[in-house]
Amino acid sequence: MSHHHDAPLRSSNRDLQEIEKNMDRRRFLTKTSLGLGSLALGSLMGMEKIFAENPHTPPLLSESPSGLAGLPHFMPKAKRVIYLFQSGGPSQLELYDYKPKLIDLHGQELPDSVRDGQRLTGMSADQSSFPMTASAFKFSQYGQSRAWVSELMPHTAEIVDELCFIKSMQTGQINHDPAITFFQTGHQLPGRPSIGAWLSYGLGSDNQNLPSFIVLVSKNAVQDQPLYARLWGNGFLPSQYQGIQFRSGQDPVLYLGNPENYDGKDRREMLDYLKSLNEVQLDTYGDPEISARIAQYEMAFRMQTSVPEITDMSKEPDSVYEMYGEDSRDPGTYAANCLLARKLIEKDVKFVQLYHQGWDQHGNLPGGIKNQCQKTDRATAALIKDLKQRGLLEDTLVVWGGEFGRTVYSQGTLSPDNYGRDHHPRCFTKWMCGAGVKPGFTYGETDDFGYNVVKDPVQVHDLQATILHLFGIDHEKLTYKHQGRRFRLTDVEGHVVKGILT
Amino acid sequence: MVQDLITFIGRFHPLWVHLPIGFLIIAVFFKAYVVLGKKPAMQEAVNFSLLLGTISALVAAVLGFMLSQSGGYDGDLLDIHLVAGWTTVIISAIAWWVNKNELRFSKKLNYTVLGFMILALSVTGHFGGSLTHGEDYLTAFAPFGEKLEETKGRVLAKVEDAEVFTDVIQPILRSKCQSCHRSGKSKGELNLASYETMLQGGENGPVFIAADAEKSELIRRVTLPSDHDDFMPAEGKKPLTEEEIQVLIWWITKGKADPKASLMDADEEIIAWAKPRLNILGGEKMMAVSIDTAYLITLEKMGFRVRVLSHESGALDVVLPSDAEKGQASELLKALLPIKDQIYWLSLAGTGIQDSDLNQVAQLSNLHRLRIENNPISDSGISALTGLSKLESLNLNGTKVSELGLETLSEIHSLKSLYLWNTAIDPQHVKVEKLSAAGVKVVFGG
Repeated sequence: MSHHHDAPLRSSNRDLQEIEKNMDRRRFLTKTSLGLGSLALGSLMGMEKIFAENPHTPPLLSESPSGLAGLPHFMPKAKRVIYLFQSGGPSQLELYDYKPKLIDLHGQELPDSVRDGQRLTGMSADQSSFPMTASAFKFSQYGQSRAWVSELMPHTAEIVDELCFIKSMQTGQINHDPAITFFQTGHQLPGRPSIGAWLSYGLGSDNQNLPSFIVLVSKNAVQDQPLYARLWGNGFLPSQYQGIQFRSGQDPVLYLGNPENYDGKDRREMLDYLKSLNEVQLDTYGDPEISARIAQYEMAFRMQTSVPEITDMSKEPDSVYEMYGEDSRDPGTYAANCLLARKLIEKDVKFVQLYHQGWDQHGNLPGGIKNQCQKTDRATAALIKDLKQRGLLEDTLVVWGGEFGRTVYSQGTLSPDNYGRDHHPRCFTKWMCGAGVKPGFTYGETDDFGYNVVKDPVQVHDLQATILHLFGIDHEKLTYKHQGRRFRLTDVEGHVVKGILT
Repeated sequence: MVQDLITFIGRFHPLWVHLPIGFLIIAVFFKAYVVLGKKPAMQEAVNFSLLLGTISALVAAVLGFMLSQSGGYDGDLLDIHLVAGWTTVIISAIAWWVNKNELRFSKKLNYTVLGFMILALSVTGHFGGSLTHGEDYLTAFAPFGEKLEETKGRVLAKVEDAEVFTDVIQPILRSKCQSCHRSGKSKGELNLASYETMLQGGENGPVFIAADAEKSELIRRVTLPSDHDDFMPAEGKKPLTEEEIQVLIWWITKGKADPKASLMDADEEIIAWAKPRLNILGGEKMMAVSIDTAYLITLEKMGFRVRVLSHESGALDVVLPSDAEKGQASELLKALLPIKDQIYWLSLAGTGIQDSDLNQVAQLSNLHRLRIENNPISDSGISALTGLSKLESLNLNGTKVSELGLETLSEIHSLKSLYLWNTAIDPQHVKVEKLSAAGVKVVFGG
């Protein structure tokens, strides 16, 4: 019993005394025997394990020094990542995967031998004709790496010597939501933790005052395909590892500010009191979600100061806005989010995930994709340049790309100045940049039709395994037991793409 | 075909041998029961057990002989096991005969024969076990005698003496391969006990081809998918780790399979991985491998952020956030000295450190990445850093360094990237070009 009477809060607070009184003999015995058992177990597992798993250690210790015991598994290259997710499926044929032969083949039927019986989406399967379609945009080679980039991406063209293109990405999913869910969680069905949640679960936080996984969604995009918060969800991991969305406008994080006429001291008092109530519950039931809840309240309190600080752009000089483009002055745009991402990275936030929707050009592709590029190209390139000059590319990884590619044949009628492209999971282009990946490098090849991969295919799980590898994590060893089974991000697959590593 | 069938049947030997062991031992217990427990009626059971034991021992011996024909077990151990096995068969037959006719012979003779039978059985079993599990299997963890070093190699005076083959690869082979491929039990006619025997290769030819890892059978076997028939170590045994395979590949390609190749010539990551595994004289104190968690927590309370980069080498990433109290940095830096060899990455960006503080940074001998941007640092401070022989990345953005300071930086031969954004240095300056020519990526802004 002495354990309870020692706690000063309990004796000084009437409510808590009341709760304590309600604890009957049986519950007391269950609880204490469990407590002793877990204490003994903890000491068997070694000190580090105690730090990682004991919810009662102060936050400073529980989040240091390295997340889970034993991680990283080996020396990492990357400390943080910015994932520029281009949602909707940007067309590789219009941007990076140059297919000059299509100019001659333009308008001809896609040969069955190339399609090889592939099932198409319901949107174009009924078409009577599948005319192959060359890109309406010109390509040129840039940089010392002589990488092909289309005229749509003039700014990205300037930084190709920093980029590592993967032209042979493949996915098993042909529709938006399962394909994005697959990229973010390693499985096409909802419910698994997002890659950012896995990383913060495994490696912990490098900044006590900000969440280690932050999500920014562009407000200036065509929101034709929805995004769901579960894409940055924690799945079955404890909930403090979920991504926190920063929004544009007055409240970057919802419900973070104090209500009117309620000052910070009251809030602190309220939180302390709530914490002690929660701790009584935690002591009684041992539910890890209670400690997650305590951690989240504490994080939210620290964020009341840190978030306004980080989202305050007044200290950025004009030259920065020029670099990222005029849009960057308007919070919530892709450009402003890129700038904010850089600021978050400077504060050692581990995972910054951007989403920019609107790449789903089933029809009117030339006009649509041009618009998309205008909104994103300049800021993307500026972000890379900015990270580079600040020395942050040394240990920051940047990933660009969507959930699948687009078909070589035109969806709908192919007219002299207009066409569309349907979803294409068999090949598409992503690029990575920064920590641990080869700069000015291209990996994988597609055929002359831009339809199939002919060299070094990279699966979604491979990309995920590679990202974890760059963080010093063996993707087969970062697991979490849930409903009787150990889960991992890469499920039962995934091979590190060694060919792109420095 | 016939050979295959013989091998197939022969492989029942390890299963079958437990029968004669059980029968013969239970016979002795029954006998003790007859004599000590005065239960003469049990005499029949003794006879019956001995008969079963004799027959099953004979079958075991035949199966064993068939198994030995499949090869891979040559050597003295097999001979001893074989002779002892047949001896057991013969003695157990005699024991049965003597016991059955105990009245015709003396009781003393009967007991003696039973004693020899148990002795022969034990000898057979022991050497059989040595054949499958290795000679040191029984004694390796015994409280008496000298303990065989499981993974550590010979004792070295210093790291520089270490050879990749003898000190890194041999211990790997010992723990992962030699239970089957060694003198006494060379499965596939392959003996990996020494460099010389490795050179002889196995029944499929050489195991490695110098400078060509891809064509080397050894590498092929350990890198196959683990469900492949040719995958090594064979089913159920612990596979080689990624790092172990990397060492083998390095040794065969870049080390040209030279048995004397020095560890110091290997890639940085290999050295970092291998170092803590070496058996260096009085090494524990020299090695920066043990991570003093309690001290790291002390550092965190002081305001540092500390992250373990590698549990193998004990490497740490230390950040002093720029919002830590300004002017405190010099004082705080002293706290890093007790772990000075463990700090691989360090960031003191925007903390207000000054030239004099770099003398302490200069003591962090394993520093690979150093961020000291946006601090009032000048050329005189930089000169202290020339001793950082492992420094690969240095961030001097927003400092007061000038072209003069570049002179000292060119002395750091390990340097790969240098950040000079927001400094007064002219990107076209001849000293910048000299650094670029030496392979340093010099980054200015804009």
